[in-house]
Amino acid sequence: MENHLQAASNALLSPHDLDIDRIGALVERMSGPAIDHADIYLQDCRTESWTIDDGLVRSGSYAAECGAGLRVLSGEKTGFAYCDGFAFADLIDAADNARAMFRLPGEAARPSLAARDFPRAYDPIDPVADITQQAKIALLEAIDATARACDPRIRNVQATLSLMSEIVLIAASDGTLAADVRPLFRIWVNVSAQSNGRRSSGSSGGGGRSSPALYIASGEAVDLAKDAAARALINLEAIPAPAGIMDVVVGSGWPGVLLHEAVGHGLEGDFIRKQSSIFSGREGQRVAAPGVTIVDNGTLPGKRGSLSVDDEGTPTGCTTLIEDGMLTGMMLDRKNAHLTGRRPTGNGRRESYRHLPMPRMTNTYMLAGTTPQEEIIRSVRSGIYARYFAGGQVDTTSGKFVFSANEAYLIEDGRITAPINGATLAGAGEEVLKRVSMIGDDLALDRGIATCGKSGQSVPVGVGQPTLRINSMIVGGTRA
Amino acid sequence: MTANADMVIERTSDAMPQETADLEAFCLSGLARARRAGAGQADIAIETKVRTEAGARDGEPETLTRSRTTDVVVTIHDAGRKGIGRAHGLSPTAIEQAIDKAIAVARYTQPDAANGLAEPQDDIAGALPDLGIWQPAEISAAELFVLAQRAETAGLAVDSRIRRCEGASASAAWRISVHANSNGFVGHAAATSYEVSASFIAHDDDGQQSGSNFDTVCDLNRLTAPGAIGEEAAKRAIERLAPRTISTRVCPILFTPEVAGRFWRNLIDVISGPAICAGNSFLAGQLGERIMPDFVQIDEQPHIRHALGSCHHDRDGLLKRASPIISDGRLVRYLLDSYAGRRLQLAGTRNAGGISNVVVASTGADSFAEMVARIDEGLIVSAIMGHGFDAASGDYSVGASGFWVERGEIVHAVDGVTIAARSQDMLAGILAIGNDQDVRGRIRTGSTLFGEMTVGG
Repeated sequence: MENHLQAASNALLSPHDLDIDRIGALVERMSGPAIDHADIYLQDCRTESWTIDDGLVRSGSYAAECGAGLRVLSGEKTGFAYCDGFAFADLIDAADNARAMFRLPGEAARPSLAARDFPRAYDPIDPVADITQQAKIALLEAIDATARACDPRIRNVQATLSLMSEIVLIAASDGTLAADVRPLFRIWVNVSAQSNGRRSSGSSGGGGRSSPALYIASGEAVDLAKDAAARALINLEAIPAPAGIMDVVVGSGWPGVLLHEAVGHGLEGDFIRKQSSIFSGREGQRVAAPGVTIVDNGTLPGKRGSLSVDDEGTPTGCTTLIEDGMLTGMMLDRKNAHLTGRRPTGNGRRESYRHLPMPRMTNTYMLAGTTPQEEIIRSVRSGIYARYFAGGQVDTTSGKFVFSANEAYLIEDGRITAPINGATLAGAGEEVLKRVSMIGDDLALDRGIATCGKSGQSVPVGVGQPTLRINSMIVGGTRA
Repeated sequence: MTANADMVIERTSDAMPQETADLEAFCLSGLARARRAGAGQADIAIETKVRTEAGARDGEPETLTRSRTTDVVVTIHDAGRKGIGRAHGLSPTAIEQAIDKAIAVARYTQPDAANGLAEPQDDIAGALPDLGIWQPAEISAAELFVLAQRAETAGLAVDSRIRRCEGASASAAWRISVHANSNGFVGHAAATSYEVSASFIAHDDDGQQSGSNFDTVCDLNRLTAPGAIGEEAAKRAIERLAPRTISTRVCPILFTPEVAGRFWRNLIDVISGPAICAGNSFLAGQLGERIMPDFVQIDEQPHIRHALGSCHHDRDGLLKRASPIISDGRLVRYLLDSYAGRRLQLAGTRNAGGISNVVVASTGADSFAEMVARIDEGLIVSAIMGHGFDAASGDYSVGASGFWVERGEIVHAVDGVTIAARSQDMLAGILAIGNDQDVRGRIRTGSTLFGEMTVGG
């Protein structure tokens, strides 16, 4: 804790003539008897990014995004203002704008801000400084060379290394004071292949809230290049996907985006409270097949979706959303927890100080079953095996969702056969979860690439699952 | 608790000259610093945005967001090496740091002969056309709440099956930017924007559906009445009720203007510099080729009055001018900035930073209803979901919802199906483009009728 609070104080307060007292005064300025909650979020985010394209690191970039978001909550009402930088005069203006919506009669008390101790999901390292500039360039060159060495049909390799060093400080009218140093890095590789006038691409990526130097040393970074190249080559040979209703085996790891779309968003507390989710009022009811247990866990060490503390100062935890097929929980920020008479679950997240917090996922995954992957494949007469995805989307009101495979195969007589391209899988959240007929023993999380978008805000998340067999999903290929 | 009626008034009318002068001073002193630091070439763009957004729900103010932000982007070129520095906030330290970081980053990049500022063009320097996009209005936060509440009230009154408003909001904003580079270019831009949006949830015994709508304009006087925006949003939710699926088949597909806009966005992306340079485009190597029927015309028109995408210069500082992209069904140009032009050894097309306004011309006087009447058996697609577009292969496969049409009439709502085709085949198989042009975004298109796609259901 000491490390984090000291680092936050050094980066966010002392250089700008601020201290905890002045932060307390700003919170007080937004408080009053009619106010449920007022808070301030100070953020200093530094991102460095390098891209190799066609063999050359042609450009790099560095971004410093620093500022504060100030918020006042009263019942369902929210006042919000933000400013760049940390000039005290600007912060006072923002505090006045945040409370402009409310009449604030009566005296406000200065909160006594006190930092609590909570478990940390990562160390306060600085990924930007964790490796030398030369090593960053060398890594991208190694990725390029590794992918090209896979096959002469590889035509281009694009790879991006992004390193983010973020420090936040949160103070609130209930006395909450929390600081968090959040490392994050991501390596993204996209490989293009061409043969006989036909083009294809394949991508891969990985990273997390940990040391990029250790990740590179482990060889995993270069392995991403092989993974992306193999996918591009597979897609070069792919035949058009079929269309219609068929049995689908969804692979372990990143295909867990299925759960993120099928149930994750629908169990975010804002949709539930506003009764716009198909899962509103369904707590305690069966929404999935027996054996299906899904959690949202922000505490996994070093994972991309992990947070020690959310953006409202609530320590994260592990929330069981579905247990053995029954709906047991939801993800809540402070506002929606307060309005529904529950406790916040540490899921109040925001893209930056320029955005309002809302309930968001951290790492969302299904727990392992007992069936070996080969047995699941063998059980399917005729169907699809979807191994890797481009992403997904859900309509939380109707529950309909899709996710787009970009590495998939036909299953014929219990064997994986031809690769197929252009397969979108579609379904409705509850129906699909009730049709989960086999759960693999091979739970894996994605390698650290997922970004979730909601109401225009992007946040890093994790997804995961074991291999699943789902009966009767809609496969959207071109062969009718 | 009620909204303060006397909340701060937005006075955008006086802001522009002073703000512009301030930003220009920061840009020029930044260029001087870059020069002193030994940077070969420098380019600095600074944009300030001020925005107030009011959200209403259940007849009450729900959220009020106010902000003033500044984004700085510095690009340094040094003997083919390129570095970019970004910062938030209009402070000398933030800008100096962005310059120093851009220079430091450039040092480690590898020389690319195509890098560098655009060569100044010998354009005739006439008067710049008035774009009509700076239309200051005085509107208070309380008045924004009223606009949002009107949208909500009108939507709730549409039908008893509208149970709730998911949210209605109104916003007023302005942005002012200055862009300067070490070749002596200085450009200014300023725009106002006003937006109203609303989203509703409709219920029946079968389930629930949402419907939303918005309008965004530069001139408050041109804003669609908030009540009409709310009504349309609620009607969309009602129309989507009681959807059925349809069995797998191949049939004609009619995209509504909103969905067609998303499809044309894919086309814009795959003919843009980054995709062409990387070979990650199914249209790489297709310059001059016929890729659509000869009645399709697509033009970039940067000077449409009151249009969201209108501008005088591209991000390279070159003067924009109207020019065709698809002429008689042929791809007549890619969308290139000066870097991509040099790398591909083609003339740049003044598309640094993307497109201004792109107009997909209507093929005749066909209204949406007339286009529907042409369909014997087919699907109207009013919403799509997912990321199922592969730029390299052109494979297109997304989730879809809309309406099933038989003998020219809508029979029932459809959802939970997929639609798929190769983009190459979709483009070649376009039958008609309607006159129901959506003018809210940068891409202006009417509904678009494709000969056939595969429906999965």
